[in-house]
Amino acid sequence: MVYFEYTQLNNAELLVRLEQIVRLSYLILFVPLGIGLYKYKRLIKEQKLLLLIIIALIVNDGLTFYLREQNQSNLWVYHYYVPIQFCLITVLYRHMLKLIVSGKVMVFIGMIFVLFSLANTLFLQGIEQFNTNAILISNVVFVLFSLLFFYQLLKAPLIEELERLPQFWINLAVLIYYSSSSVLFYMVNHVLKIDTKSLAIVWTVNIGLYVILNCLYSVGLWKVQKQ
Amino acid sequence: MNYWEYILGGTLVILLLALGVVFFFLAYQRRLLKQQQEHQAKETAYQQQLMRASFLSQEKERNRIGKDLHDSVGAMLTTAKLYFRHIDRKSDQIKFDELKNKSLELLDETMVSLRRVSHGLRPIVLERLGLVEAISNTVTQINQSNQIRIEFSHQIDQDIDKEYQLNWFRIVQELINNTLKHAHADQVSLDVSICQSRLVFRYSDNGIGLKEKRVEAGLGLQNIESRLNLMNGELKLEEKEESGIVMLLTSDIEP
Repeated sequence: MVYFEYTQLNNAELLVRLEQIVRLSYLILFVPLGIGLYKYKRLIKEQKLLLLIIIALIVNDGLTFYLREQNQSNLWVYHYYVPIQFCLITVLYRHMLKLIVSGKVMVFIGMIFVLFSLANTLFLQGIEQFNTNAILISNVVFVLFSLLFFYQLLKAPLIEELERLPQFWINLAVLIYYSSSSVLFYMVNHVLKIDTKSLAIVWTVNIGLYVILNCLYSVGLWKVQKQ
Repeated sequence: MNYWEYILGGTLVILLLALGVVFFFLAYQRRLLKQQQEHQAKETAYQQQLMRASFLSQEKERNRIGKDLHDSVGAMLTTAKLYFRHIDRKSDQIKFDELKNKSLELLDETMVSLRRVSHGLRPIVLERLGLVEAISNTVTQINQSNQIRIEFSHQIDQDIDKEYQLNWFRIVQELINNTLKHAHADQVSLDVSICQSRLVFRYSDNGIGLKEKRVEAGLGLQNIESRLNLMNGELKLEEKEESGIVMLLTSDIEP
């Protein structure tokens, strides 16, 4: 459906439509933020960390949006944001996986990724390029974390109503978004060279996944667990 | 196909895989949960059965004590009271002495009966000399009847908690009682030892054995199970080539 609509538009119109969708997608971020702030006092440690991740996401999206408005390149922002996001999500999973993975191992993984990300920026994908290598690696690690979390749930005493567990929804969000968007991020640099239509379609799908991610994050923040 | 179609196809495949993982996990978790709930229900039913057996046993014991007190001690005290009523200073000396002596004899018999009841509640031999001597004493008394031959061997080199000793003595009484009542056996073997701070008790007879190889078979065995549970113990029925029964019972020696 998206494709049929996009075939009717020229490149300039496509970019305008894409810009509209991107702007609308920013609004979804305020749903988990609002829930998180509203329920802040009753949030558990993992939910507070998720709120911090959402705030980092809002800062990143706000900065990239501002730079684009100023007709400046915003790709360098991702070179800072991706390692920060990786560290925050690793800290989150350090709490969520504490029964089966040592905290030191998680810190080690975080440090290795930061070094890799730095090397990627210096030697592989410069500051003016989209750092897809780092994004792809971080996505793979996040997917592994989420699978480990499911494994941990099976090892731990069984929980009757898993849907009431905030960590379950956070993990579901991570698994669905970071696994599905990996292909998109891996290919985005190639798509940029092909045509605007393809870019618009691929990016619209990514925004769809992004909306799902934030909806699931919102559920994760909405579920209140007794300490 | 366009380039972006491959990308979207790949994305869709991965999305479906991720959803598949989630659904598989949820289904597997639900199945485990169901199994766990079934197991818990069985465990609860078994614990209730043991508790019921324990209550029934207590009631039975109370009835026995009540009957003993009523039939022997009560009857003798009633008779003694009658004698005391007839004792009169004005009656002749011979009759007076006769009634007095009969009353004293009755009181002596009452004291013996009362001692028997109280020893049944808490065996004196066990209190004073310990588990091995108490079992030996019981075995000797039964062997004197010449109806059945019990062989008792022991190897105990550690102290056993007093409460645990009483539990074990009751278990031995229950086992011997079961054999005498139901097994039609003429030989019994008892072996008790301590191995790695666990009391190991092997009991065997040459009777007709259990109809069903289950511990839940009767009230007596349920009582044994209840007592063993209190001592972190367990009961195993071993296969025996000839007729009869072989039981292996183990427990801690102190709380």
